[in-house]
Amino acid sequence: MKLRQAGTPLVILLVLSLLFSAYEAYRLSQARDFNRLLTTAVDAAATQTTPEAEFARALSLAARNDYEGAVRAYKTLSRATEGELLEAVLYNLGNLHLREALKYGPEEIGRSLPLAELAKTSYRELLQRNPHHWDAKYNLERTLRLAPEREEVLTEAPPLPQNSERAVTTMKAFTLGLP
Amino acid sequence: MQPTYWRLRLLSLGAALALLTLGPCHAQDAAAPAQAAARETVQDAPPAAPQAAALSIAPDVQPLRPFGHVIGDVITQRVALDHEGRPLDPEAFPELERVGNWFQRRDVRIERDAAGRRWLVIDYQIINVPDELRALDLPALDLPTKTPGVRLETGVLPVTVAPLTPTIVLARAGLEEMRPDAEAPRIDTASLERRLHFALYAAAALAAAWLALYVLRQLRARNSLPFTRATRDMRHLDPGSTAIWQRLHRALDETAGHVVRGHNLASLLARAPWLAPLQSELERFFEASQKRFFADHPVDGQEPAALCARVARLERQALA
Repeated sequence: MKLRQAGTPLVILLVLSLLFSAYEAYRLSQARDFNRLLTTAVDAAATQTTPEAEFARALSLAARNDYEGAVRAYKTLSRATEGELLEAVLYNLGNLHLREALKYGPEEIGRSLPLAELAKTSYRELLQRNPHHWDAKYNLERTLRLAPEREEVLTEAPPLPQNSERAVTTMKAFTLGLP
Repeated sequence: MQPTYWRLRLLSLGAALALLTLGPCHAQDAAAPAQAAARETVQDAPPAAPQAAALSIAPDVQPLRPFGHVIGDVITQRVALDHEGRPLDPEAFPELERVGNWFQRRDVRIERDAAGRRWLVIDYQIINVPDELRALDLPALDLPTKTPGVRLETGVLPVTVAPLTPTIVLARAGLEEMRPDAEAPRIDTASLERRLHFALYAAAALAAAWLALYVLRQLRARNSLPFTRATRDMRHLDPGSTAIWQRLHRALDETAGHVVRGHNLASLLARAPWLAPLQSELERFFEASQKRFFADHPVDGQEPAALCARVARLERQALA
């Protein structure tokens, strides 16, 4: 009788493990499809709903020079991801801002400076998570070449809280060119 | 007489003027040593109570590599939390904030080394870069401790920091204005494959366990269930023999717990309700058995072995 009773939970567990296997097989198939599409058609890969696909979508928007759309996509991802994917998001977000800042360059510092500050924030946040991210180090340094933080300016100013913005152009309640 | 008086008057006037002008100077000269003495007394005297208790301690600081740093590097400073063998605890940790133009204090914690010595460990990250290789000062520390009046003080530590890139980029492969975007990450299929394999192995193991259980149950049924045993025994008996009828009777009696005949078949069905579908066949069997054993009347169309096999199947479904 006891052996007979043991059979029922075994069957339940068997059915559950088969269902789980089917689910994992489906996910694996989706992942393989995504990876295959990634090398051939990023846009097609971006139609999936995984965080990696969202990343591909943001990348695709950035490639089409849709700055605002790409920033929104990366920002959304940055709130929902962790680990290496978050690092990639922060890095690409910094690149997005830096690329825009470089378009204006030092000649239009009023427009490039706030973008450079946003880029610095992203790179610094990434380097806080991973101090060995060499591409982020390189690009942060290039950003600082564009928008340097000179010692004498800082020593006179009061200490700023973390993640604060230094450029007047990006501060709240400031509008350049207005009295 | 007259001129003499004039000279006398002039002399006295001069003397009076001299006294008036020199008097204060004398007074000052006389007061100066007194004031100096008073200052010395104040300096020699013990200072006010809070100053008397103030004690700055220069703790042991583990040496760190002072060269070869670039932007983003984390420099870890380790300050010993003891003095002359007595432990010291900082009243509060330094704030995690930007410290000066070059460093950001990222983390402060207390660690214990292998020898059990406690260290205040502070991570500084280089967040700005000079135009060329330059020695920068890691900030000094001045921390109050939980011991009243005792402060931990360290000096600045020079470290050299160099830029990674020239001011004007080389614009050669990999050394352009900025490093390219990270590519869209591939989904890690290895972990998915591992999970799928695990689920499949688990399913296979469960299936094997269920199969083993089924076989075990059948084996046990073969040895313990009355009709199953009877079916096995009947294979060795002559189909037309009396023994085969007796063997079925024994299986029925064993199931009921008492001797069963046609009149008390209900008691057998009450004890083994899974026999209900074969009630009419059992009734016919008892009737035929009555004729065969007591009326000595040959019976046609009754196959005890076939009936026993059908009952055994029901028995295994119900009990095995």
